[in-house]
Amino acid sequence: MVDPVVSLQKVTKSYSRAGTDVSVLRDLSFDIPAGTFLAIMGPSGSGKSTLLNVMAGIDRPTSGSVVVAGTRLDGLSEGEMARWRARHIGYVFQTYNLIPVLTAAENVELPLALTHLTRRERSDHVRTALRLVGLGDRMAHYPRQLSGGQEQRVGVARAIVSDPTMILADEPTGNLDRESADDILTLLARLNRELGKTIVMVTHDPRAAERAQMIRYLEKGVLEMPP
Amino acid sequence: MLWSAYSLRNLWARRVTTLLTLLGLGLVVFVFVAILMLAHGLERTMGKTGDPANAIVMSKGALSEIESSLSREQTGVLAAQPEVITLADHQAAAVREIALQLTLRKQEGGSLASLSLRGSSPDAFAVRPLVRIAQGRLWQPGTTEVIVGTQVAKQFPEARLSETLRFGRREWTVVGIFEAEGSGFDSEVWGDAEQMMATFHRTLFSSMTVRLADPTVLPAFKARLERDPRFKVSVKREPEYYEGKAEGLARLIRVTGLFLTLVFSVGAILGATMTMSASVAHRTTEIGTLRTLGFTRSHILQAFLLESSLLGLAGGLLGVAGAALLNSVTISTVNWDTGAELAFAFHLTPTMVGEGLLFAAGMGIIGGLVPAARAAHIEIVHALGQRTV
Amino acid sequence: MTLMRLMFRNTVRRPVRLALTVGGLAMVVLAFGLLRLTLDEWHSGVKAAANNRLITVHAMSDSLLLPLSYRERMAVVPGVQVVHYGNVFGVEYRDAKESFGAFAEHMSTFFETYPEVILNEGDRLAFLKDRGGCLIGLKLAARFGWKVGDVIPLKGTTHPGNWDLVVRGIFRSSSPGIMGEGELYVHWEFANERLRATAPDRVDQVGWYVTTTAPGVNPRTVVAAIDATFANSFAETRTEREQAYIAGWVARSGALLDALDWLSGVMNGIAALVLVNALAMAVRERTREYGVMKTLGFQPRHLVALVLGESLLVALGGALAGLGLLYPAARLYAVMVAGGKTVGAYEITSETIGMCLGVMGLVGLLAALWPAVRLSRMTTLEGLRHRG
Repeated sequence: MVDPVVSLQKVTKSYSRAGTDVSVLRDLSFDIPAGTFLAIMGPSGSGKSTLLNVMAGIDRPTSGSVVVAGTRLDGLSEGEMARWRARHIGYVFQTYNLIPVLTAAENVELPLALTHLTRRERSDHVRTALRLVGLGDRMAHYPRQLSGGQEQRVGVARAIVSDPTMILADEPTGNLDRESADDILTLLARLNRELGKTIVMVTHDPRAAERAQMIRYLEKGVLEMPP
Repeated sequence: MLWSAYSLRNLWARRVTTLLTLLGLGLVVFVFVAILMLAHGLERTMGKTGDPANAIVMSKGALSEIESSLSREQTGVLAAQPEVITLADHQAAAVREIALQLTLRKQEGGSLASLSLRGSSPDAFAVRPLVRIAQGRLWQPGTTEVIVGTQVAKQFPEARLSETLRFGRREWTVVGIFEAEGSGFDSEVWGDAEQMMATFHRTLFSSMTVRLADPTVLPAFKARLERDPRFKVSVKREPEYYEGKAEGLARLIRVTGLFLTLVFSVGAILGATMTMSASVAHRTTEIGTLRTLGFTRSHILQAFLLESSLLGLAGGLLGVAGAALLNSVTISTVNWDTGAELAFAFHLTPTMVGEGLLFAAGMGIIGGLVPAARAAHIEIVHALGQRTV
Repeated sequence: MTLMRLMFRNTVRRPVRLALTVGGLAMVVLAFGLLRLTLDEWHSGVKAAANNRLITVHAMSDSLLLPLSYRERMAVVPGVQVVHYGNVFGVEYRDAKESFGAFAEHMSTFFETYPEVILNEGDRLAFLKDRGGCLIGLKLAARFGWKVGDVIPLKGTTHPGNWDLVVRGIFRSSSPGIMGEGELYVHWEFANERLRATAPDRVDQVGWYVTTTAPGVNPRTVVAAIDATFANSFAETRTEREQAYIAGWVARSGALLDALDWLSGVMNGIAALVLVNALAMAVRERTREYGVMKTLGFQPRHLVALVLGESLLVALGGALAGLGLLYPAARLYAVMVAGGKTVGAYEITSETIGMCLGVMGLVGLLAALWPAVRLSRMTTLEGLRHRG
């Protein structure tokens, strides 16, 4: 078996709400091998987004250790975490979250502002990423001039442009119609298959989850095999 | 009732922005009221200097006491005029004076300032009943004793009670402090006219102030004396003369102050507009909901105008409260019309409070006009169709 | 750079708000500029003072007169080159509202004492020849439309009587802070002569002496020597270098100038409030975007730079707009303050411009502080969860 990209050991995450502690994640331990396309399913409030955020380093577990892309996250400061994230994580949001004042190309270029690439290299990367998602002809469009599906494809392009170790997607099809959703899922599957990207996708849509190589259910804070 | 609660709570819900806007409006109102207070305080000080029943007589053409000269004979004839009242001791209520100036240092190491130095006689107190000795005593006629106004004693350490001033190669002891109800006399030094004339080799007086039976006699008295070629004098009502001596200063305060306030208020109105625009933009869905419930466009307009005028009023209260803290703070500066030091205080009147609040509410309403109109014209379908995220 | 572009686009993102903010700031810059001009006007004389001129007045008060006989005793004080003297020549033209400054000066020493006066040679000689003539500044001439050869009817206040003066020359000044162009000058001897009949107490007396010191002489020693000469005489003197003398007069208005200074501080407070408000709104609206950027790996300092850049950009816009308005407004303001009297210079110097820009830069910096602190404290998750 290949080295795991993600390795969680006894991860617990609890919030205190109205005086009582609510555990969202309970003693979770699992590995994700490189090159996997994993779908995590579960009902609302099951903690699947929290799990994704813990892997992305934008949320911290209450206890347990998280190692992603060879880095132990618990010891990192906010700044170190951000630097690490820029290198290793591509994040796809449910609501796309494109910057409205930037064009499609500029949105995709944004993460590259953190690299030392030359102007030329940057624009090459952007073009490649946008072509890959099928929007090579929409470079100069602003988000409001794109459809929801197109916006999300720009979001995917932004997630892959810096060639991160893995892609994390939080309900990437949650706001899309069936057809656009299929396009996005096909795209993610292709990225996994052709470029060997490790992808972790959180979704509550079984039809979306089917497109992944592997599905896990998160229920009551515990990860289970599909029934 | 519900409506004003709605407006109030909305202001509270966006309290950071509201607070910043309030502070901005408050500062503008503060400056506005402070300027009014200062200008009014100055005019009050000058207007109280002297008595409306008194006339000051100077040589024809002279604009100020310092430029004027009257001979001993002239003053004698003037005091004998029938309009001038007679005191208990059968003397005419008239005082002939010589106007001089004295340069002293304000505080230790402070700047030099000129003081009005008035060579007078004890009759001055009969002519100006407002003025009274607060500490010490009157000067002995025929000596080099002087008395000083309360502001002089406060501002100039060299002129405190029992200190000795040196000028004209003689020594002058401060034997008393007089109080003139915050008028310009409080910034003067008084002493014996004959002693001062002798010291400065003068033979002529500067002016003569006479007390008339009542203020209405003055116009006729003035007309008679000024027309008579034997006198060669000009006559002015005492407080009017002193008021005229602070015109330059009063104008600077008013013009500078009001010009700045005007410019400022445009800035504050723009700030209010910005706040209200954001408030409207933020509540588009809410406005749609209200309209669906049956509230009319005019209701919406009212609610937002109420909100912005409340914003203005609150700012106004803040500003007026700040300005009220300045009340009776005294500033002492040179009066350019005379070159002499003059102390006057910020003075707040109820009218100014009203003006300040009105000004503030006005700024709020003007600032809220455009955003409120925009809110009223939002289409329901549009408002409800808006994505909230 | 993408970040640079993002900063610019963010700045112009809400055109209405941007216009309001820039407008508000411009107003504040305008008010601030006007105040600075007022203060500059006050201090202009201090800056323009000549190093070699000394002013001697009556020690007890500037308003008291000194005997003319001091002239000879001053001339022999070591280091003194020229002894000049003059008086206020108080006059009214038509009525008190239209008054202007007028002075009676000893004309044989006037032009060498004040090289600031620029007058053509022909007019100068004509004026020196005509004892009853007068010299007027360019601004005064423009104000009443007077030309050389006109007769000006004046009523004396310090010098009683009617004076019909023939304009013999119109001068310009190389340094309006010292020698204004709104004044009138007559021969001291001519004015003095008439006093014998009208105000004998004031004959042969002068308001001030102006002495110039010889090159290479330390003016301080001359100052001390002059005052020592008249110590214990019936009219003692107070001598100061011109600069100190003018500065002393400015200091007498200290309380008012302090108030103006203080007011200009309040103004910048208002500017900062307007800008903080606009920035706070913008940052709140964009909180989610900042959260996204943090997710992409941007550091707090990147976000702070974005906000700071925007703040400075808007402040700069406000400063430029305000300075643009300052030019016409300064003229209007100068006329209003003068209230019918001769209008002051109120000149906008590079110093005024630099001051306005500098202060707005500071305001921009300060205004960004609070939003920036909020942004850098915000965790990524808070940012993403923010509902605009």
